[in-house]
Amino acid sequence: MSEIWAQHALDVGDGAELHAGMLRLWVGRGVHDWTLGWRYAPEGRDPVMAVVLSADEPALDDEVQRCSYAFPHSQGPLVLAPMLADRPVIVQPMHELTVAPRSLVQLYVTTSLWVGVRAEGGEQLLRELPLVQPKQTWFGPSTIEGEWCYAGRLPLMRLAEGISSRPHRATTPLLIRNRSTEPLAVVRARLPVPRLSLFRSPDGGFWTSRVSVVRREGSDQVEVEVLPRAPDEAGQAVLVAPARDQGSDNVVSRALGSMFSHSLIP
Amino acid sequence: MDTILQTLDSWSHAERAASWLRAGAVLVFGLLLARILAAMVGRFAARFWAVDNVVLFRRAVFWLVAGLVAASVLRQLGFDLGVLLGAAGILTVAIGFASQTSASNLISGLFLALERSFQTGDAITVGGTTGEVLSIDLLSVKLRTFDNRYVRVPNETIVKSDFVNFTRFAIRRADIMVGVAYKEDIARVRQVLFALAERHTKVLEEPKPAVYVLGFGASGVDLQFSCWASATDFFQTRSDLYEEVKRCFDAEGIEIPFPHVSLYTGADTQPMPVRIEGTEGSRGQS
Repeated sequence: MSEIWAQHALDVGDGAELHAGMLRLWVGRGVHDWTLGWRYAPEGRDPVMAVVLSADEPALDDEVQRCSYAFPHSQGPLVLAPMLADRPVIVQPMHELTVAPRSLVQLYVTTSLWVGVRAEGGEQLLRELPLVQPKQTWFGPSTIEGEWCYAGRLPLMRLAEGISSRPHRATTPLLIRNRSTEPLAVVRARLPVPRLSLFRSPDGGFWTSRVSVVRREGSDQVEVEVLPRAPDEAGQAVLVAPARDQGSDNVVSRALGSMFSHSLIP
Repeated sequence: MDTILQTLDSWSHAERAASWLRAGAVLVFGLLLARILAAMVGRFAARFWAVDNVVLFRRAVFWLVAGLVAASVLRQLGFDLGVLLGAAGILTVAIGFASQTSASNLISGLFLALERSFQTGDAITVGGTTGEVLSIDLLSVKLRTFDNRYVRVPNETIVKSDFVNFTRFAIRRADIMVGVAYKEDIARVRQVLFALAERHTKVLEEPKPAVYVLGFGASGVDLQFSCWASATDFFQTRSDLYEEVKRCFDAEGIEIPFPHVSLYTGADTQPMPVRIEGTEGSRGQS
């Protein structure tokens, strides 16, 4: 089994099949085009990570989505690059968590990776696909006000060891510091994934930038800081994908309700 | 004497030519000014208002300035504006009587622009017509119905009647009405429905789906399965959910009841008599 996140030499007429997370993706190279076909395995199956070169085109059925990209002359190699989601992810602890006044808590959460399919030697991004089909969610104070996000599948954990190492997910350390005299309830939290960079540790695991959330004293504002370097837990990690949203500042001040929110009454 | 008269005549011609030139200059520069002013005001208003309102406001500014320019041009040409305004007043009264409906639509259009209840691209229902708003004009709103018909709705109709905007908010709730037989375990039915909502990628995780028991119906227990979805995907999601509910209930052996009718055939409880008339081959022959 070869490394997925790498360059794959494909001759004209050849194809490669990627099994990553719940995604099964086939990429074929023609003389003048690249063709993609993909589908998602049903939930509940164990995620796998494998790439098979010289694979035949999968049989078409209703669940396979396909698209082609035309070029004057297709050129290899094919590059499969790991990426983070394109929207914030809403994460929640296993049970409601309250951060006591003037205290802090270090949490960890994993979010699903995406794959960027690049052709023409990595110059042309053909498509971005999530390795696990994301579920959409609404995050905000009401059904009128809010923003589109993805729902996180796994809960926030207290220790990094609690996070089972999965090759299709990236771990984010989240530090919550409550400087207020009021307790801070964490029911649902907004993880600003588009602002995070993706790193790979020497053991092959994926980590993102550390996120620090500080609630100031006597204020309903929080400061959300994204540290640009790899977290210490990742060891000598290397940057594999810079943040999608690089325009914003490292520290952003937000209303408390737009960072932590309760469930909406349906 | 002739020379004096000729000189006066030539002066008169020159003066008339000059006033025409002045009027022409006022017209050209005035209209240019009207365009520039309307564009500037439009650009400023675009920071606060929706596109439709900005267009209306820009047009109003342009025609106001253009009216003033026209009055100035007429003055340059020597017309007595007092007489013209008097005539315009009489004309306005006459037109006012003749175009009450248009005036009402015009004023309603201004109210709609101020109220900002919908904008171009929204899906609305008004007076029994549902469609996408193509444009909001001074007299009417133009809709494209979902079967691709062009409908013109007078602004007055919209102001007077109830209307619904389906796409004002980003998310909508789909209420799936479903009945289950009395023998079914409601807790299990609830579990099946929640699992369905969890699997469906278009159903939002939050606000959470909900199952409500509405009451005991004639044939079974009436339930309401409520799921939230994007307003743009709403109709497809609702259709998918009805299909999925039927498929899941069939797979799980949950009975969807339908009205049953018992026929009473008399005092004795004998079975209904069934008589077979002829064989397959002899059908249709008397």
